Amino acid sequence: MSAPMDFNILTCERSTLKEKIKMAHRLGYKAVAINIFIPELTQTSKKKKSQQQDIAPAKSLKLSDLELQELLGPTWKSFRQLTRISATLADVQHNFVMSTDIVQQYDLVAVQPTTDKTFYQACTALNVDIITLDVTEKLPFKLKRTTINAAVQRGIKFEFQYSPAIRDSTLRKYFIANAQQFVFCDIGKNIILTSGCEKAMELRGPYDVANLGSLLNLNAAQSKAAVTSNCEALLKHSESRRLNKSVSKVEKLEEIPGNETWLLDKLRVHSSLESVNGGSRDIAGIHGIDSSDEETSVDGPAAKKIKLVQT
Amino acid sequence: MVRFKNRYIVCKLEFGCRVTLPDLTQDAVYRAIATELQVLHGDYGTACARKYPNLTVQYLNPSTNLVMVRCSRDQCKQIQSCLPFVKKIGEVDVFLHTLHLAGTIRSCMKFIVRYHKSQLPLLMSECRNPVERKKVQEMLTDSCADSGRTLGLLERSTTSQ
Amino acid sequence: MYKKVVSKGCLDFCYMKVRLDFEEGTHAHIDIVAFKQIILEAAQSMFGLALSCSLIDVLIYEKSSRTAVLRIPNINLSKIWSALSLYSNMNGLSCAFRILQISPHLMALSGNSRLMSLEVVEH
Repeated sequence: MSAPMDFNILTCERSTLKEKIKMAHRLGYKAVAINIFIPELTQTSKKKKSQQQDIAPAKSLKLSDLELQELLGPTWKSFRQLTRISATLADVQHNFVMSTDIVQQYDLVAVQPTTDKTFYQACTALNVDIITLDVTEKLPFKLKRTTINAAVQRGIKFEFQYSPAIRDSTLRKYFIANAQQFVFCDIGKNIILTSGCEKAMELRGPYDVANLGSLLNLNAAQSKAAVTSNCEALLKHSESRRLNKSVSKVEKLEEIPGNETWLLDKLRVHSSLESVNGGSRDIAGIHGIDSSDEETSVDGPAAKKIKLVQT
Repeated sequence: MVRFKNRYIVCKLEFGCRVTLPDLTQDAVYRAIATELQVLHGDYGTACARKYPNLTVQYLNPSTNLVMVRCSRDQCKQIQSCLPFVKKIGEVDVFLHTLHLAGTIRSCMKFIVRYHKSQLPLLMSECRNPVERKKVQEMLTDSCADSGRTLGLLERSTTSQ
Repeated sequence: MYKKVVSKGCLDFCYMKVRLDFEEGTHAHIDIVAFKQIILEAAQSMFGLALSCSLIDVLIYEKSSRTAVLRIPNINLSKIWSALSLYSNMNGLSCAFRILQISPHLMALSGNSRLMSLEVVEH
């Protein structure tokens, strides 16, 4: 099984958080996302700064390298921590907050729609990675295949949390009922299963979680994907969300017009490469250097530098 | 086109001592079946019965004790397995006698009409006074204006009296 | 002396190695009868009488580490597995079932190659 990941560990006091991360590492998860949950998005207005919501900066959520090393021992380097922010969407008017820099700096952005209109907005327009579907009560809105397909095409994943099912018997029923209803509309694509745990004991191993997929009418491949490959795809989606939208154009070196040869120096492409494998090796070289440059600018909310050739 | 496939089960409520409950409600029957579902199939069964198409009692005839229950096609076997275990509705001892299983309401309604028609001659033999007998006779003639077989039954029952 | 058995298709039973974990600091003494009772309770709350009546046998139970080897019918594997995963509360104590190994052959549960380490012997 490729790297299993758990993208919903609720933030809490430091000692409990450390316990949870230790448990996740012990169970075999390769990456976790520490989640800060905002129950209501309030309007941030320039005039009324006193009412502005206090959203903590993303870096304060994660454990420092030293703490992680102490906690996990020699294998701490392969364990990845991400930051995540989730909010409930109740009003279509307030949702511009999700596009602000404070929110977008988090690695993963998740929303939980509560009405038809906010669900439609989240699937088609909002710049988010995850749409959480509530498992604590009956789904308040009707699911439409067209809306869900729009989200699937954009690469957004739908999340179901299994920790409520572990805590309480009635929540278990809603978890299964809501998830089965969703899987019926969605044919099991783009689903991730995460924990949403409050205590370390509510975490379950990746194979156990994959088996819960069979309760939700997912087939074996889809259940496994819910814990592994969909999560990896989500990481890529979050990276692309934080970068500017850009277009890449692939050109052979020989065909670059005269006034753009400065690009060769800028991208540090050496002429010796030209002779090795012809044009294709150079193109790969250009892409390779570009992506490494992009990684360094990932921390910032948006890459302002132009790295790829824009048309 | 997303199509929710249903199953409709027509059952008769059989009371031990031929009692008809005048205050029998669809809710009471639903709760009896849902309790058995929880016992037999646990949280999973109840959860499957909650998503659309959910388990509901669509039709209830308190005078003839007929009940029509709707469930999803996937859960049909589970629900059918619960029906024999329903022993009480409220405080009254009762059991469910399954008469018909169909995929559409229309088919079930057609069956119910046929069933009522077939029960009328039996009712006739259980009439205790001429007023009741006359009423049942009228209902019979109305219902089987086009049905030759039931008319024959009617003639035989009237000649025997 | 030895008998060769060739089986084709799905085998009837599946063997599962499980461990019952409690929170750190909880002292819970569970004997084999109580352990089986917990498993049946988990199966019953999740899937009702229909699942708790299936043939779940505890073949070996180790009290100190609360580890056991169970034998379950193959048709019920997925259900019993999910029922055990979702069980979290025993008499008010927070607990979790950790499924260590699953195999249709009991022999496979005797060793776990993931726990082995390679030793390089230098001549």
